[in-house]
Amino acid sequence: MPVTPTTQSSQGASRRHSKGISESQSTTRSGTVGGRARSDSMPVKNRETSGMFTDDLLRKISSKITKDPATRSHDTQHDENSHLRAPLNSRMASRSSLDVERFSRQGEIQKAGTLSLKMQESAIIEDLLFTMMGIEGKYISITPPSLAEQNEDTEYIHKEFKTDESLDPSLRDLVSRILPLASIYLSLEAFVELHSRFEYGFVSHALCAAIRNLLKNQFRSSPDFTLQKLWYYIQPTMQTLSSLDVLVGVIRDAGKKEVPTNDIEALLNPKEGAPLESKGGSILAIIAAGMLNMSGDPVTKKLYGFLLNKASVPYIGMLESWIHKGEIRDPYEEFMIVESRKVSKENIKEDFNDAYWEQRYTIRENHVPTFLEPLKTKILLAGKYLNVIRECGIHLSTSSAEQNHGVAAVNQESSSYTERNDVLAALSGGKLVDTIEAAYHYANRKLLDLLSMKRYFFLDQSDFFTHFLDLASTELKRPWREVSLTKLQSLLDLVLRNPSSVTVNDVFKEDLKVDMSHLSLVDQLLRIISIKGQLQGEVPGPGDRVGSRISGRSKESRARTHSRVNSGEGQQQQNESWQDDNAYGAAMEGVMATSTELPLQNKGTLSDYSVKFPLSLVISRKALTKYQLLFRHLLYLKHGEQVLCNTWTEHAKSTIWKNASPELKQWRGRVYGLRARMLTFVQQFAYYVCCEVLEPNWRDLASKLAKVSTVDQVLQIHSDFLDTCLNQCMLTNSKLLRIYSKLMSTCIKFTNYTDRFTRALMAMEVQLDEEAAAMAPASQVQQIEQAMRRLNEFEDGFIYHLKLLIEALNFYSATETVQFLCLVVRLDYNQFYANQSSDIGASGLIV
Amino acid sequence: MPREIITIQAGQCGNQIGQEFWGQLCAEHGISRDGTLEDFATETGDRKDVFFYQADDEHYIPRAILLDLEPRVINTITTSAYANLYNPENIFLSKDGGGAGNNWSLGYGAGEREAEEILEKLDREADGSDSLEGFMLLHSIAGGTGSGLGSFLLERLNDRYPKKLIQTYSVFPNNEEMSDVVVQPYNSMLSLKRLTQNADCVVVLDNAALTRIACDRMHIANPTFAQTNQLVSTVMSASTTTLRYPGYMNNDLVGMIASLIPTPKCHFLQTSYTPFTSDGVDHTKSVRKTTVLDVMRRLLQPKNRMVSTTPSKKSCYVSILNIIQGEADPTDVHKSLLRIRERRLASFIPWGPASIQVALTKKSPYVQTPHRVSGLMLANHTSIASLFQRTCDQFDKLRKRNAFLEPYRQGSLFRDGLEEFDESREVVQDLINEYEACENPDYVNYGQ
Repeated sequence: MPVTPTTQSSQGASRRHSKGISESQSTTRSGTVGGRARSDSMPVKNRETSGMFTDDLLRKISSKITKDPATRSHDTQHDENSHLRAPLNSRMASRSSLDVERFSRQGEIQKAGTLSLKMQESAIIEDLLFTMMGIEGKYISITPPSLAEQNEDTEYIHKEFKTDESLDPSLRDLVSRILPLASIYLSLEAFVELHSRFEYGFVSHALCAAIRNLLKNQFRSSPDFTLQKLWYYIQPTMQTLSSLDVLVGVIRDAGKKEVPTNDIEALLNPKEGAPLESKGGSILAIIAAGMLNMSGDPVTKKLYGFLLNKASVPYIGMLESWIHKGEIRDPYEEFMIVESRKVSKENIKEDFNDAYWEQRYTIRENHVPTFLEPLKTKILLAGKYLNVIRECGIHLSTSSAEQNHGVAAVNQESSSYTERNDVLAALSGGKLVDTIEAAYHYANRKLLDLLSMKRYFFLDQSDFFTHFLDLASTELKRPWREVSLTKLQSLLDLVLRNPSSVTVNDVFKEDLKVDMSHLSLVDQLLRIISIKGQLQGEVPGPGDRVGSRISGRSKESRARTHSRVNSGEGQQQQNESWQDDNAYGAAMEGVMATSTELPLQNKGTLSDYSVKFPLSLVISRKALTKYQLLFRHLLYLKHGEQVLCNTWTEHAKSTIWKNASPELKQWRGRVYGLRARMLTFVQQFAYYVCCEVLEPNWRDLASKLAKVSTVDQVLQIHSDFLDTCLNQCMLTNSKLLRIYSKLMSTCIKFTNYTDRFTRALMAMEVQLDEEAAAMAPASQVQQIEQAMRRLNEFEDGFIYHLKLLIEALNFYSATETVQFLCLVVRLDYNQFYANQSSDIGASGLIV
Repeated sequence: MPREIITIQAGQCGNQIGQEFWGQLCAEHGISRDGTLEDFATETGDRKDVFFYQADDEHYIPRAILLDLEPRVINTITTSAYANLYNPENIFLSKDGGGAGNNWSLGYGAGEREAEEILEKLDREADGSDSLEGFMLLHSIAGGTGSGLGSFLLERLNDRYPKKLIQTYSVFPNNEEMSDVVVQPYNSMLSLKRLTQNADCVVVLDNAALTRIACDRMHIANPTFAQTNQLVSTVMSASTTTLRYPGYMNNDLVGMIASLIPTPKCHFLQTSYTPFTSDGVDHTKSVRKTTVLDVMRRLLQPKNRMVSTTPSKKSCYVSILNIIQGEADPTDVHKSLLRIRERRLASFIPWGPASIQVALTKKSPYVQTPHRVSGLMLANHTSIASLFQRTCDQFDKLRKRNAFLEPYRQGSLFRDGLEEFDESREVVQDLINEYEACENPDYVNYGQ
């Protein structure tokens, strides 16, 4: 006897309350519903299954009926045994031998007409009541399905009932009006039964539970004696059920639709069972849509609201666990977010790319309830951030309390809502806050991490690096194949851990690694550019393919951004192809061997940086390569500055230069002058790179990052930043790069030249002291002449190239970036080179 | 690991300036007067180790050697609040305590006598640093101790540490008016020879100009030495900011100096600083709007220069380094450079490329200044020759009459005659000639 009196009374009260209004309405409605039922009418197929489910319900109802004294009196008139036996037996097993024995079909039909009107009425009421429970009555029978329709999938379709022909016409009319209710009931039962199967997912389960609840409530009230009264009382029920039926119909239709699956997961492991359309989010979407459509009808709207409320509970639960914990608990694939397990964070350690971020979580478009549509990206991102944070191993406990509060709030609101807007407000409110919070956590963390990138790659506080170069200079002077990487690494560690260094407090210092590249920076860049520029003929073997592919691509899109992206990729591929490509490698080694006297120039020291997980989202291998390019560019400049400074010290401090012999005095000034020019060039260039390219762009990046709320934006901004830097450092233009490298190598060769010359002078001095002065002049004169010649070469070469650079910069400032003009101003501030244009080269200076 | 710099302060002037300098450094790095780190000094990113090292009890000790021949100034230091800052072993006081009596010869002689003890202190400091970059000598060239002892040290340092940089902050006397020290032209001349031959970089500060700036810029009627010394310490701390707050560039002394001094002989630098604020007096008046352009323009004005020179028409800049502290935007710097070139506010040498180098540095987070931007200019300008010329003129006047030479004869250098004076005069004349040649387009061929 699980009937709770409270629900019953409230049900009754509400019904009485709405009695007056709904009567006329409901008659028209029942007409339409009935029409629909008839048009849809299809024969019964799975009565057995529905019977099982309704069993419990029926028992309750009929026991209720049997208790009712009035009903019983009618019953006894008709069949006095009915109360002695299990009340349903006679009806339920209508095909049982017992029934066949007692009431043969023919007998029944004849009987209906013969009975008195009162008896007819009571019999038909009883029949109706049973019919409404999904059981065939004595006078009302279910029409068998026609053959054509039987083939189709008919399990949900409305059954049509046939009434005994001999019944009193007025009664029959009434009955025919009530009967659609019965067929709707059956159809709902079938729906509930089917959709309660596990594969339909939590949302379906919740919905079914809700509908079942409704069905119970509808039939709990007892019908009155007369058919008229019965009609009258079932009006609200009728309305509810017909609304329900419409809804269920839509859900079924949706379920039958062929779903175009582009979900890879689904393609890979196709699952039998419910089609995607008819579960999860889409059900909610249908209910919500129905609610919106019926918003003119308060009763239906309330009903749909109730259903939506109940059905969305599991969905909201999933949503909460997603937006608050970043977890997906979705065994039946009904949630709007899909996690692709294959893309795991372990993969990106080896292969840095953006795939993790883009492919790990995706939205299932058809499972987004309409009311969440505008919020779906936010929901996705919120969860993604949390996920990343969670995978970073950061415990969310601090904020979980707060979030639980939020959950409670959402729950409260969602349970009490009747207005769809309220749901929206509640949901979006909670989520927005959450998204922003998470995004901020993340953005801040990343900012911090990037700072250390800046320190190491841009030599922001470069003192540690000078020290490293000091320590490692002997090691670095050796031919590159003999350089011990471990030794360099330990030296670097030594420098970084030095307690007096500013880097000592940096937690990321452990991530710094030394690596050597056997390609010089300029060579590498030129190769990248040449690959783009269809010069792939030079690169044999696998490089060919790469080259043609890339050049083809860059032909396709001339957009500069694209080609710059290519340059990153091209380089990686180039590196790979490089390793395969022994022939070319050997040639290169030959070059290296011949130029071992300038070891540092031809091999770049590479700072590598091991990127840990969360950061690797942002700093992909591609980005890291770009950082390395910038770093090596800077390193080259720093190295140039350092050697020139050493030369300066030599010139300023050594007695040979100070107290120069008359021969040396002749051209000492020119050596000084040239050195000063070179130093100015290198320092101005370094200033330009650091203060006019990297720093402003960096600030720009930082200010943009402070504002962004999504990681995708961060990725975009970050890659833009790197591209701009590369471009403004003129690393993307082969012509500029060539001139620049020529200038730099001239500088470094010049320092070597003066160093050697200083040593030679010193040796000579010793000789002069020891031997007679007469012996020396021949060799000395010769040597000085030679030195003069070389000096002339250096002067000419340097001035020629610098002018070329200035011209080229002026030219490219129009096409590439105006930033080049700043560099021009710096390089030739007092118009020295500009004024010299009349006498080409340094010829004016040569005696 | 940082490139350490050892400071040597000699004589009354040197020690007074040094005192102010260390006070300033301590304030900027958040080091208290006894060398312990202040509680608020939590920011990292500065490099204290260039000028300080840490004792066993973690307190910071300046890499400074205090030298004097009379105890007055050093006694004030050892009784001041900063008494515990310095390493007592690094303080050298002459045994007799008589001072040098404004006699270069006496100072030099004292150096010779006490060489062992002084050099022992230097060696100890030098050994205590990992990669010593160089020495910084603070002294005046007019008196006895600073000029004489300082000169001696310059010679010795060059022999002892041939690869280390020697930078001096040399205070030149006010030679526009005759001072109470009549022999100051002699002292200056003898010191100038050593500064020319043995120093790598001399930052010239001029008492006349310092007094003028204190009067005009800071509105102090009769500036005391303490106040002018404060000006010097401001300049010194500003010129070392790039070393102490490492940034992209100019993180070592040699890089800064190398670009400023293209030819080793012309290594006398002038400074300007703006804006000065005076402590206490009329604060509001001196606070103006400071933009990068403002600062850079003002730095080029002669009235802000801390050396009194009389530039000729041909005078030009060999090089300029502007150290801009505070919130400076690189684009502003670029605009200012263009504006300065447009207005021809600075003329440069004709024989090579030269420009205004700019170093942007951080401000100390612990020292509050009312200005958004402040700037220091280190410039190599050929007009410095006029200062030497004035010294030469005054020297010649005295030398012609052989006045006041007697006290010098006691010194070892002058026992055999006074050739040292004439030799010095010659060296300085060479320097003047070199600077004049520097104004010509064919300077690179100078000396042929």
